[in-house]
Amino acid sequence: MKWFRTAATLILLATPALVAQTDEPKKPETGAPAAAPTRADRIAAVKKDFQKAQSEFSKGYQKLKTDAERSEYYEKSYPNADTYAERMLAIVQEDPKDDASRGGLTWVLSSTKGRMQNRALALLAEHHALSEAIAESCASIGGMSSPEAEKFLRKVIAENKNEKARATATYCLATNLKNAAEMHDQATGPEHDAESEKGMKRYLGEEGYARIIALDPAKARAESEKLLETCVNDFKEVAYRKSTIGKIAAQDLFEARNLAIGKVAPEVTGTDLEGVEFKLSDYRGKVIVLDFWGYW
Amino acid sequence: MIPHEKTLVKRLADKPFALIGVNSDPKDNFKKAVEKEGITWRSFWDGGNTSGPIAGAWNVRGWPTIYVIDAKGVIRFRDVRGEAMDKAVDQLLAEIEKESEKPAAPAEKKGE
Repeated sequence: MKWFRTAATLILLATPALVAQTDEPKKPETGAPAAAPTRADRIAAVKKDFQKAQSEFSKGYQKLKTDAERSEYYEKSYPNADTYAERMLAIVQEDPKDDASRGGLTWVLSSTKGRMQNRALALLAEHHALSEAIAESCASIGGMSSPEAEKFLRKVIAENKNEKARATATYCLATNLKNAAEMHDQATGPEHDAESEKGMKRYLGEEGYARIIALDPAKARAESEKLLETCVNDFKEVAYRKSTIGKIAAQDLFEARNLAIGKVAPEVTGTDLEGVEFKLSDYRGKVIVLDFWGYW
Repeated sequence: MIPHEKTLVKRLADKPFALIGVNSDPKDNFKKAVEKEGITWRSFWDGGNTSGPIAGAWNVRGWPTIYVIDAKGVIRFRDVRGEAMDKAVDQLLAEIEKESEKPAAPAEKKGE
């Protein structure tokens, strides 16, 4: 399903822990002074615990041989991100304004779906929408289909004074609208039945699903293209993911204009395994499945 | 993916259908994959990694990425797999058959 391919977010590294000295340091066996874990420590610990649980799960999973065993194991033992997110949100809510909290909220955004994501988003919207560092959270928000996500990105674009934040939010809103249009087409297409509606509702939540249905896909796509043009013209040099917003947006624009359903496929020229040159158009007149693959 | 595609290619051996890959592996791995999996269809070799010219031109960011193109060269479906791919291909093949069944266009009617 397309929406699983939303951009992955950068996992924010925890800020370096500051060792706090208590008035009467207890001396454990090692003789080193006890340090009370800071909030940043505790936030980092939640992430670490979840990672550990996931790798424990992986180890167990790889030992299994049959599909039946594996799916049973998955149902029973896959670590529930929501549980860790609850822990995270409890720590964050002690002081939602600080930078470590922003990192914790970003983690919740990128690790959960639905209700948990929306809770994290609400806190980010309240305390960090105008922060310089919100750029790091925008990619995850771009992947959310809730009305709040769109509102949040528009707020950052309109009010945040930091160029990188505005640039990232602009690009992520473009992606968000494009994905929303695709989901609308899927939700209103011939393949959509009661079961796929249930699945979509479960994934998007009631509000997210309602938003998708109510969307005008042509309008969303048109705005998406306009936002990409803004990225290309106004945010050309802003760094993003080992590249720039301008470069990535230009590629997305090309895709929107030339690779959308209904467009004539561009020509492909290349060589096959034997080194023989051939073209995609050699196969005109046939139905073609063009499959980008790798064997890694 | 590959087992399903093998079945599809076999089923449509006598139809106007082509499965064409764009491979992003180093050449040796590409060769090994074809031999090991018994891949019978052609692939463009895209230079040995995921930053090749064809994947670049098509803005491919995730693998696999699928495009289904009709007999006129128009992109009609994207990222369909398994049964959905079968359905998409069969629909487009049916369009070709329908086209060929159409009677020759009538002479222009004047003054309707």
